[in-house]
Order: sequence, then structure tokens, then C-alpha cells
Amino acid sequence: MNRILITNPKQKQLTFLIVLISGCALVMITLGMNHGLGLYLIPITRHLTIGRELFGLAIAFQVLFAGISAPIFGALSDKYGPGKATLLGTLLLIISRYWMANIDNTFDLFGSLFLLGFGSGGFLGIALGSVSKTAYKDNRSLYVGIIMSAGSFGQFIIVPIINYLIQHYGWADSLYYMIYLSLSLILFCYFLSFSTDSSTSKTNESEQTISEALKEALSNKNFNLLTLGFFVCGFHIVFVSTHLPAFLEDQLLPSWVAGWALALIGLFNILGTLMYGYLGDKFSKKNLLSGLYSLRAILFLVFFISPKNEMTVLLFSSILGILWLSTVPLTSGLITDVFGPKYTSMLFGVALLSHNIGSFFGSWLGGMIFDTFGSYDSMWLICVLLGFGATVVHFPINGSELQRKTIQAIKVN
Amino acid sequence: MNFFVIIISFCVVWTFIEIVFSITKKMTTPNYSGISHNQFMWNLRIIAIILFVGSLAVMNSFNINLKEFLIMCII
Repeated sequence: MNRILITNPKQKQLTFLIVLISGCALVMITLGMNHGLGLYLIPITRHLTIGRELFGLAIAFQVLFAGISAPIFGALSDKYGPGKATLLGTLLLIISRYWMANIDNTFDLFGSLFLLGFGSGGFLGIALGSVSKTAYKDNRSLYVGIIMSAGSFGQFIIVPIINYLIQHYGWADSLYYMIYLSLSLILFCYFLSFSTDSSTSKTNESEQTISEALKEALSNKNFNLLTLGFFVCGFHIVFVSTHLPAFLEDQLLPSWVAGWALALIGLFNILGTLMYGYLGDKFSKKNLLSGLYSLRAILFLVFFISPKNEMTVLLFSSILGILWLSTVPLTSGLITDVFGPKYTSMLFGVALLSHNIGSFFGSWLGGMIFDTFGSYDSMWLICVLLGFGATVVHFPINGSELQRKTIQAIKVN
Repeated sequence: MNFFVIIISFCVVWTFIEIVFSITKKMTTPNYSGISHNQFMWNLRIIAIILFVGSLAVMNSFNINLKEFLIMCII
């Protein structure tokens, strides 16, 4: 993609602001719309006269496809520009929602949700990559944190809107309203295409192809350890969000505690993402990640052995909220620091795939262990062990920029 | 719903954040090209208060159905 070289500092700042706002809007709208899918469970299962497990399976595949498409869209973004890649994602979102609004059988349900998952997978990685590229190195991590906070905030805003639309206009019409909302994404896709590379160092990275960058990352110890750590993040998050309400019900706690536990997780998640994003610019990201995972492990252990009452549950939820998605600005920032900003979207997409696989195992293993042993005790201990494991995994990571051989030398080797 | 427990847990965790920032403030050198420590903290405090008051208002006034809320949050 041909890019215009911007040299005026004021113009650079304005361009960055446009890219940041567009990234926030894209992530906020797409994550918000995706989180509202659960609201279609009852109306669609009634319309198709199918069981809830079938809808649940379709949603699980949608999440998996979102993970698979993340590196693909990342690569498209790195090759053709973020504007074109997100535009393709937006078109897929529109087609899939139109298909979903006109479903007649389970094939339509699975087909539309596969397409929806595939289309929605690219936005987060591309937005983070574009902002990382355009931002100055000093504040990169903070701005990535702002994007993630916008995504969490979208959940609070868009989901109640979808709920209102379903109740007042019906589920099918609400999907048409979501198509209109998706159309607004086209504008932000255009603005996101303003993203430019702010890095001043001209390395061999600029000559690297996508396959060379992928090969380099997959054979790099730092990237593999980081991806492995991100698996643990997905595992923890989805286990807690899926099984915590049922766990609290088993502890005979009042029903408002589960609602407030999730609300405090959401609230402190926004603050924690901003906080760790800011700290990522001041301190070593890999040390912060190690500290974050060890704090999670200690928190799970303390919660496991402590008595379960209103106070302990709400304290646990609030602290967990701070550590919830704070891994994202640090992980994305480390990828940019080590490999440079050019292929950040694709490489973060690969890490995101690992995160989503971890999410799948967190949800599935939680249910399986409860069905087998009748309690979540083993699962809490697995979370503690994985937390400490992730701490150890992050220590040997070298967060400094990769010293590349010349491209010719790589090709000869 | 016990508001006392909710407010206490919010305050305890917020104190933890303040302590973390007061420690990190001493450990970092001022970075003139980026946002200052105090500026960031004040922005974070304002966002925290708005979000907490907003959450209290939404959870209390709109009488959210828990099951619906959980479906919205989890899936």
C-alpha cells in the first residue's frame, strides 16, 4: 500500500489521534456486538426448535474461527494495509449478520456464525498493530491499553443496546440494526488506513516478507514463550467468567454477589488495562508479565483456601479485574519491541490464536472436572500451577529488539 | 444487596492501586515526552469514579435480571 510520508509533527499528532480513535471505535463496536451474541440464544433456539447445546457449539466454533482468522487478517493488514483488511472483515460481518437474520435451519446457523467468527477475528490485532506502528515508542504500551479499555467499555454499551433492540423489534430486525451499525465501521476502516510507521530505525525488517517474518517468529524462543504464556491468560479468563457464577451458587452465596463480582471484574479490567499499559512504557514488560501471572496464581491460591463470603468474593473479583486483560498491552508491546512494528498485527494474531485455544480448554476442562469430581477444587489448583508456570515462562524472555542478520544472509542460510 | 461490602472492596482495591503508583513513581525518572505520572493518575481516578458510580446506578436502578446479565457478560 502506498503511504504518504508525514514529516510535520502537528500533522503526525493529528494522524495518530485519528488512528487511535478509529482503532478504539472498531474494537469497541466489534467486541460489543460479539459479546451480545448470547442474547440470541433463546430467540434463535425457539425459532429453529433446536437445543441450547447446538447454539452453544456454534458459538464455540465462532470463537475458534475468530482465533484462526486473527493471524490471517493480521498478515493481510501487514501486506495490504489495515484499512483494506478491516474493510474485508466488515463486509464479512455484514454478510454473516444478514445470513443470521434469515436463518431457516442449523446449517444456516453454523454457516453464519462461522463467517461471523472469521470476519470478527481481525479487528483487535489490526487495531493494536496500527496504533503500535503509529505511536511513538515512549507511549506505545499505554495507547494499546487504551484500545483494550475501549473494547471492554463496548461490552457495557453495545450489549444493553442489542438487548433493547431484541425486546422492542425482535431478534431478526435487531440484526438488521447491527448491520447498520457495522456500516459505520467502514468510516473507521478508512481512517485506520492513515496509520504510518513512526519508527525511525530502518532495519532489514522493511525487506522481510510475511513468510520470512512468520518463520523468524516461530523459530524464536522469546515469541514461543510469550505465546505459551498467553495460552494461560485465555485459560484463566474463560474458566473464571464461565464457571465463577456456578461456583458461587454452590457456595450458597446470595445471587447479587455473582452479578457484582462480574461487574467489578469488568470495572477494574478497564482500569487495570490502562494501568499496566502505562507501566509497560516505564518498566520491563516481561517482568511486569511475570509479576502479573504470579499475582494471579497467588490470588487463586488465597481465594481457594479462604472462606467464601461476600467480602472475599468481591475482593477476589476486583483484584482479578486489574489482572484480567492487562496482559494484552504488555504482550502486544513485547512483540512490537522484539520484532518491530511492521508485522505486529500478524504476530499478535498468532499469539491470540494461542489465547483462544487456552480459552477453549479453560471452559471445557472446568466443566469436565466438575462433572468428574463434583467440585472445582482441582481446577483452581490447575489455575495456580499454570499461573506459576507462566511466571517462569516469562522470565527468560529477552525484550530487546531482535538483531537481524542481513536478509541475504538469512536466505543463504 | 449490601452496599457497604461493595464500597469497602472497591476502596481496598483502589488503595492497592494507589500504593502501586506511589511506589512506581519513586522508581521512574520523569519522562517528558510522555504523559506525566500525576496527570495519568488523575485521569485514572476520574475514570474510576465515573465507572463505579455508573455501575452502582445501573445495578441498582435498572434491576438487571442476573441470568440475562450473566449471558451478556459471559458469551
